[in-house]
Amino acid sequence: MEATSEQPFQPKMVGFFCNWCTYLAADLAGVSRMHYAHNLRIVRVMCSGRVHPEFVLWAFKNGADGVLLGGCHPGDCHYIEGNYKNLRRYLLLKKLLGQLGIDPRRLRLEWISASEADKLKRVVNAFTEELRALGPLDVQGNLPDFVLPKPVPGNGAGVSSSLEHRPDEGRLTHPAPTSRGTPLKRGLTSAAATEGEFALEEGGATSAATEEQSALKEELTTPAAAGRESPLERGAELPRRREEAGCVSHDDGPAHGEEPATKPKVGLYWAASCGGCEEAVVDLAGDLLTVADKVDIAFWPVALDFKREDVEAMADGELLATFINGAVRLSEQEDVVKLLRRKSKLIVAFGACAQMGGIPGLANAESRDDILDFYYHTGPIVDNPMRTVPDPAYTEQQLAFELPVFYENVRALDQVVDVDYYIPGCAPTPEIVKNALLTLLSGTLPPKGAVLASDRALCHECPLNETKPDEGLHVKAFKRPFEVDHVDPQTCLLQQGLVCLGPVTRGGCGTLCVSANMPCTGCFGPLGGVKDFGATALSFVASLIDANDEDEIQRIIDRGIPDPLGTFYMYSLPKSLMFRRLLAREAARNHEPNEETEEVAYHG
Amino acid sequence: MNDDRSRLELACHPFKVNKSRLTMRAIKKNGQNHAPDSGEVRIGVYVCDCGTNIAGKIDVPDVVEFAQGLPHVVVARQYKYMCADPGQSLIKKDIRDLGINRVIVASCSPHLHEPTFRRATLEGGQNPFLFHMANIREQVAWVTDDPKDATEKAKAIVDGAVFRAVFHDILEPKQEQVNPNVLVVGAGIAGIQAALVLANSGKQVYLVERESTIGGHMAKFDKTFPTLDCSSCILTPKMTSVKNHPNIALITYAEVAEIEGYVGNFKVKVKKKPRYVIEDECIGCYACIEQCVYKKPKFVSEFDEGVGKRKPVYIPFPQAVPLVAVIDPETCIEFVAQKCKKTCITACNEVAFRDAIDFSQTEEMLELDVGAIIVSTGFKTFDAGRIPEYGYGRYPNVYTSLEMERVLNAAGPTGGAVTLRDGSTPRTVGIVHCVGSRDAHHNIYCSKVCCMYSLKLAHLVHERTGAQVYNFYIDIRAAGKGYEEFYRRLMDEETIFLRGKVAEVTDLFESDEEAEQGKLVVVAEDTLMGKIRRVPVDMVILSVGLQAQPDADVIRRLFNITCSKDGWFMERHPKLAPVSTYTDGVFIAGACQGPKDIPDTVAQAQGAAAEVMAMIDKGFIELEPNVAFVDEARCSGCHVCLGMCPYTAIAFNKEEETAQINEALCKGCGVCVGTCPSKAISQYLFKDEQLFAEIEGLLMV
Repeated sequence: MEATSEQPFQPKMVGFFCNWCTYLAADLAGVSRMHYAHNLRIVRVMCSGRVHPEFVLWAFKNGADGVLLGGCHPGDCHYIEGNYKNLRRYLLLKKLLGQLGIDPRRLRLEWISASEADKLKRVVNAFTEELRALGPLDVQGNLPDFVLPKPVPGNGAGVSSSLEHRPDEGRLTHPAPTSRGTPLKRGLTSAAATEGEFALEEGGATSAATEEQSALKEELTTPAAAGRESPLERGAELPRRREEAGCVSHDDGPAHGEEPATKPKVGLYWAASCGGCEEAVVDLAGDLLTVADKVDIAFWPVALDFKREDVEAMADGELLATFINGAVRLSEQEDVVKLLRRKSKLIVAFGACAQMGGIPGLANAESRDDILDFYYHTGPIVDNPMRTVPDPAYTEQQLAFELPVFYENVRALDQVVDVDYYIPGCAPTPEIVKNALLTLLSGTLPPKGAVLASDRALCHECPLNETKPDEGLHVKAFKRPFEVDHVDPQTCLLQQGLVCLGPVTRGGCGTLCVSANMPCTGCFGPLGGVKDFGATALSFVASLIDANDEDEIQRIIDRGIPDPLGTFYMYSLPKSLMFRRLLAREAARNHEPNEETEEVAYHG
Repeated sequence: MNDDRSRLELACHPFKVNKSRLTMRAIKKNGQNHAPDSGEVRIGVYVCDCGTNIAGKIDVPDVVEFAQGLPHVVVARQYKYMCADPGQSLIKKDIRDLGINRVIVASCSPHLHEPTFRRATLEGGQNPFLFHMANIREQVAWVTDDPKDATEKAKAIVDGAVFRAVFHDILEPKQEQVNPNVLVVGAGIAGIQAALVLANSGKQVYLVERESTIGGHMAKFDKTFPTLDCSSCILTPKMTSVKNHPNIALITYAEVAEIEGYVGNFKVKVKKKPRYVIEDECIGCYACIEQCVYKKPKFVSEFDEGVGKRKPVYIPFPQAVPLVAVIDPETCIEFVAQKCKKTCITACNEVAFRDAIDFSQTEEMLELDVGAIIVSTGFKTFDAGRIPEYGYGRYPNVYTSLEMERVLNAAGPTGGAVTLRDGSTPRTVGIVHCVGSRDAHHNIYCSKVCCMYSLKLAHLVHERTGAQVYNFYIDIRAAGKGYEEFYRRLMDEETIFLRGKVAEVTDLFESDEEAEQGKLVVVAEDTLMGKIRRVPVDMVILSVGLQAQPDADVIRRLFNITCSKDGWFMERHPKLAPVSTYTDGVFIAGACQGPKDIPDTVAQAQGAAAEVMAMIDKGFIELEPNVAFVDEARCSGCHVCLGMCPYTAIAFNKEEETAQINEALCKGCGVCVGTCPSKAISQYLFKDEQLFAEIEGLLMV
């Protein structure tokens, strides 16, 4: 990829061309034998409106240096106005790309009609030259210290062994769900079908484990398959469930009348998090006692005085499950998390930070150096005349002290270790936590990789969903909550212009924010099949813009969505296709101060 | 769950690879052993030489070798012409012998041969939609300089196709009934001919014409080249047949306002302008015209190209069809001042015993259901005023060719007498060729008919007046049956041909001699003699070129077809599909597609009619099964897609609280798919996993 003086850099670009205009123009260019740069690789779609922003990011991630969107001229769309949908997404996506450290010029939209072969030639040649000047993008090569987790030996086995030994642990397991339904009948998502793709692209579950789990899934979902209940109904059923959870084992099942010889051990750990998830555990209130009854909490740094040595002393797989909240940024967090992975049969990512990087993950929008610089030197409230900075290692009275390494990136838990389940939320609600715990303790495990919440988007449980007009949503102006004088609690927030991410966010929270007149910000993360939460959110939000004129669309975007990255990746930047804002150009600048670096211009 | 969906799913069963949702890397890792569900993916890749079209640029054996190493590829072959029978047989044989269940042909554009290879796949015993085409001719071999770059790009495209094909599904084409009625838009000779052919074959035709009479440009001509047939004599019988044909509904003075639907099932709204004369009542007796309060024709006659005049109530020409008067509200006193004596009404009542005039008429909307549309909206002539140095509009004796047609026409304003504006007979006439054609400042293209009609005009003017005729030409293009012969005949008639583009037409004489010899001087460089010539003439005829209709852009959008740069409607393929467009069910005929003479126009009109008949007589059409569908288990009912569909194919199911797509209404654009925040909507042939895989494959090389 490196450009040399003899051979100019050959950028790779992907073109998404509509079947009726630009693709035909490309054919016509061929028929007319117009030679143009060979760097373009064309993907045919029926309409440019089919192009999802994920495609663009996916192309960048897979090595494209530029993406060219080609559609019919405004007013000429074969499908009436698909090209306008593309235009809306394009304008918003360009804004996002800048924030992701990708020069927005790397994405180009051109209206090229079927007869404009000469325009196609011109555009491709000009774009090639522009990309050549911008240099290679190389997303993959620009991800410093980012290593996907290697499957830990015994990891997959950890799950299966817990399954194999299920009969021995019979007295610890809950009775099978009654016909009234299991707490999570709507919350099971197949790892292979959904999260596998989102969570673990490589080195994920081995196929053996997957098979076993799909068998398990079947077992588990069969009783749950019947009926569908609304969140409200589910809420109403909670007290009864609590009863079941607490008492049924005394009425029924092998545990009756027996004290378990040893209760299963569980651990809790916090990495880069705010502590809210720990609160979520405490929020279980009375239910916490029920849980404490069933398990032995063997590690919980926030509440109990166990040390790392205690964990190290455990046998591998001794912990039944460890709930880890928080993202991973420090070497210490990485060490402990890896240690816990070894000692636990199941690792459960608890909360948005562990699942997707969460709010701390937004730090991936800045470089490590900038963050340190801001907090120790340039921040408005910093008073540091000596310009003191943390010293990673120092010796005081012949004792060596070490600070954990502050990594360049924030990582979600499954980017460090293999994760078995996810409990979403910032923070997870008590119901979600309780239902998840009950499921895990029931012994009938959901398929690996399952997100233990609803498998439909929030709108499905939102009481305001019925207020949407049948002809769909159209938004003339987006507003931020503080800009709205009076939020109408009887009308869908999106319809009122608030950027509510309910349609793209996994449900299960009981519409907490929306009920408080605040738009959903997406803490429950994406649904299965979504490769990139932010891009998917961006796509639907942009498509709703009720304007076809480029300037007007741009105005609506600039006015209402000034910060697409913060809006759409509030919780999921490390789990996005891009993982972080790209820094490679900056690194290059540091090493070779003479090199022209275009991306730098978009930093900050 | 909707039935069609489950039918399709059932059909997909043996190859449910799409369900596995493994990324290509995972597949690669597992290699050939990966057997999704019950069926193993076995891909055959066929790289076409296309003679030297592809092999001349791309190292085909190298691409074949590369393809052989790709995951799931069981066989990769090179063949000279894949589209030929032996090439197709290769595919069929491999399907049978090697159990190939994904076919990739790397050759030309899918717009050319996708149907061919889908058929071959089907004949081999596999579902045709398990085929995918890699376009390495139009988009690689023909557009790339360096063979090495071309080979690499071809590999990338083949790689993308292989990656994508893994996720292909078994599908059934969508079938739709075809409405046997046809709409023909524009009733010049093209529209008339197409309508008659269709009507004669028993199809119901709606023929819509913007003007008050049909006939188009041909009705204005006096004679036609090269046979010098009387234009009226050959056209007017056809016009009358149109009027009288039981299968043709003639709608004049009307324009198509709106079109909905798709091939086989168009809903068309036609806006009928008020002519203030009831068509069924009027017998075309001219009584109202004679009795109009304007005693003499005072207003410019559009039909006569301004050479003649008309009254506010008029019939454009005596052979008009329908032969019905029309009132022009711009000039009629009743409309302008609201206080006319309305002698026309009296005349109608008393002379014709009719009550045909109706000043209260308003615009009318007609709704038509048709299965196919022929667009034959014709052309406009070049506006000679755009070349001021030729003096059109400034010198009264500078005519355009179309004006001269009216002058020459026996039924025209002068009764066929060629006179100057002052009534005298011209002694010398200069005909300036290529006005607005073959001219980088105006239209770069050749208008094709001007040479021949200029010769015809030269002959007719000479015949009527005995005048000496000069032809100022760039080249004489007389390609056509009998055309060259006609050119020779003109030379024999001692018409003077002067090779050179005219620089100027002027009345500034350089000598008294010039002034005596003519009223104007044509200045041109005689490129054969190599000197500037000044030719004094009495009359100048500007042979204006042909242009697309000024509102071609509006018409094009209406019918969802494309225009070339010059505004001519684009045919689907310049050679092999000259009357089809990229919108199925919409065909083009005549000069709206490009300049052409009457024989070509008629042939094309009949061609378009034949295409329509072929479509209608089959009874149904097969549509790409690229419809979108909703996975209801994932749909949250968020309403986002509802506003995205331009065809209102998506409805909200209140009971299930999910979106539902009406497959019959879905046109397969995929806009909803790109919008769905739950990824609950997918589109056959363009599923997310297919496209993600294709992108990944394209970028791996």
